[in-house]
Amino acid sequence: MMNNVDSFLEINELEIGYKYRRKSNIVLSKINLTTRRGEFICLLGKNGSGKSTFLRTLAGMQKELNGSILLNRQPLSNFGNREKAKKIAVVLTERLQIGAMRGYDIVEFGRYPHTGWVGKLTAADHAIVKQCLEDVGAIHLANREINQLSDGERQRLIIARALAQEPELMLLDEPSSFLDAPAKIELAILLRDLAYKRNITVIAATHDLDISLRTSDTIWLITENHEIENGSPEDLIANNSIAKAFSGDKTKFNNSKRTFEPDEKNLNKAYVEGKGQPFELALSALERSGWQIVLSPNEAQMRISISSNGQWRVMADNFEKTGENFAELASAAQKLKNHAL
Amino acid sequence: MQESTPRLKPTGKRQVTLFFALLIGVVVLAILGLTLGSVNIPLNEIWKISTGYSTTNTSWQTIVIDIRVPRTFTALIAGAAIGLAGLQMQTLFRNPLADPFVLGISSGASLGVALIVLTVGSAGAVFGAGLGLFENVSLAIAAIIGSTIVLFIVLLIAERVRSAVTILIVGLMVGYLVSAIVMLLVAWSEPQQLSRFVVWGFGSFRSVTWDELRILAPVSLLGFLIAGSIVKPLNALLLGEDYAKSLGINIRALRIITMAGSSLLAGIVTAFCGPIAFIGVATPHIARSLFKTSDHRILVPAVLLSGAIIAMIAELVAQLPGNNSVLPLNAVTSLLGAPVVVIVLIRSRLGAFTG
Repeated sequence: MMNNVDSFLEINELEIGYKYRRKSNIVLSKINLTTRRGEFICLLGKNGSGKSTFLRTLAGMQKELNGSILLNRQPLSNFGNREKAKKIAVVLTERLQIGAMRGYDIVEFGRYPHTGWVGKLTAADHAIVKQCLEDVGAIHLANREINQLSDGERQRLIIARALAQEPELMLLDEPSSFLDAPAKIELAILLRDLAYKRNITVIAATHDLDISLRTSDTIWLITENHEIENGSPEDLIANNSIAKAFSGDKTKFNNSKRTFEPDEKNLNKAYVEGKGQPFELALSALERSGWQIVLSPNEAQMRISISSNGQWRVMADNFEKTGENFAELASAAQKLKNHAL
Repeated sequence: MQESTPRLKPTGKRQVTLFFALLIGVVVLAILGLTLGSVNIPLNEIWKISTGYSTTNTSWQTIVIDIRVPRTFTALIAGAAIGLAGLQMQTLFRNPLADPFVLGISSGASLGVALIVLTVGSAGAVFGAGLGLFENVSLAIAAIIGSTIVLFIVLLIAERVRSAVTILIVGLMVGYLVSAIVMLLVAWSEPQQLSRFVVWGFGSFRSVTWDELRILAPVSLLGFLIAGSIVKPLNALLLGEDYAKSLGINIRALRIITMAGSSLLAGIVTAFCGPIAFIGVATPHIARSLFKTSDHRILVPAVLLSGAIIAMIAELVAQLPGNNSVLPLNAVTSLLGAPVVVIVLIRSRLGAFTG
């Protein structure tokens, strides 16, 4: 389909950070990455690990300390402001602070690098704006005053604006941080589809592990030693990189669930007998009460059986209790745990 | 390719009507500016005089040609200029309350004026009659330099503090500081000059002579052209500096041009009319709420027209009562403008800048 697809964006020995009076504060170094067109990449890292700095450097808003960034085999610094704006679009964390403006006006801003000095849009420009509004599912927001929109609606408009620039590379900094959980997933899927459909390389910085592992083609993972590791979600899970990069003292990464869970030492052990949803929910109630689930009744200090209608029975040394709802089960489990300690 | 966006963007009908209404307003007020005054001159005589016919009554001729025509032109131009300076500063600072007067830019211009008045020794045209072209030009240049320096200082501080209210307070403080220096200069000047300086500080469109108007008009026009040439990047700046940069706009150049343009306008008006309060902050808000937009392509002409209208109304109100004495212009503009600022503060969610 395309030539040189493998080297659309090429980053060599990049070192980024801030320079202040000849003293440079290096945030990330030894970055070597390449991408093709139309890839959806999540830049994963803890808070404060340098995601924004990296994105700003890629966007040309901040100078690199060392190394090179090549876009279509040309150094980023070769592009003029306007030329760059036609290739790279950004979505920042900064919140818009304007009123007296409608959704359509926001998306129109995306055409700025393509219009003349008055900024007049041609019929073709208007068609692009409309298409972008449709692509992000925001056509109904075109005539709404932006001060009356929710965070999620505004974010869609800002992304539509970035699309209207017709970029080859789109950089998003924590695009879903204001959104609720379902909207976060929707947004990730939207970005992935846009990357495929429009052949745009989308790089989204996020600390939302679960969603990025489920949706992205590639993960760029900021590691503990301030470098960036690159791989598919599965490979990075398999080689334990994700677990290493994110683990804290009291959490551990669960490879099969692809999420972090509390890792408390010296947990009391419980064995659960049951089936179906009541069984699953009982596990959840016990886990949040600070019990570790084991697979054999012999090593457990507490045994629980749960029937298909949700009735449970707890058995331990000198203790036995029955009940019907999970709140009671959790409180019984907590009581037992406190006794044991 | 077919015609693309039905209904997505409302037609500009309402805005065209508004522009016509404002234009008519300007014309009507200009006529009122020529007719209303302490001496009652019949309308047909005024028409004759201003279209170049001679009239039997030479004192009427003098009043119309040397007083009413210049003050009308001055009010219209100065109002448009101060309003436009306010609009540019509000966008540049991303602050709904920015304007030349509030941020001390006018004080900077006053300092320039005061310095010239003292070094030239005997008073200028504003301070007495018969100052030559050279003095008028140096007055204008001094005022523009003064306003540029203060704007630059406030902008430097604004780089470091983001809070709109803090910048406002900083502007006030810089204004006080500069005013203090002006006060010292005035204290060393002669009593007669002092009283004239105080009168100048009241603000006035009627003290401007034809000679001064010949400087005020072209410099203001230059300021209007500068503002007109940067409507597109000013729009982008509404999204915030980083977004504007990402759309390919050279922020540094834009800042310098906007700063130069608005201090040119604020400086030249202050030099000849005195520091005019509140027109700069109120006009952009009135234009925004009339036209329901933040788009500078519409706001720049809208502010030009509504600034001219507001200044002309203030000028007419200032001379109305008593018919012989004239109210200080700044008292009138403050009475009209201060409530607007308060309303903006209270309803800031509806303004151009929220947050």
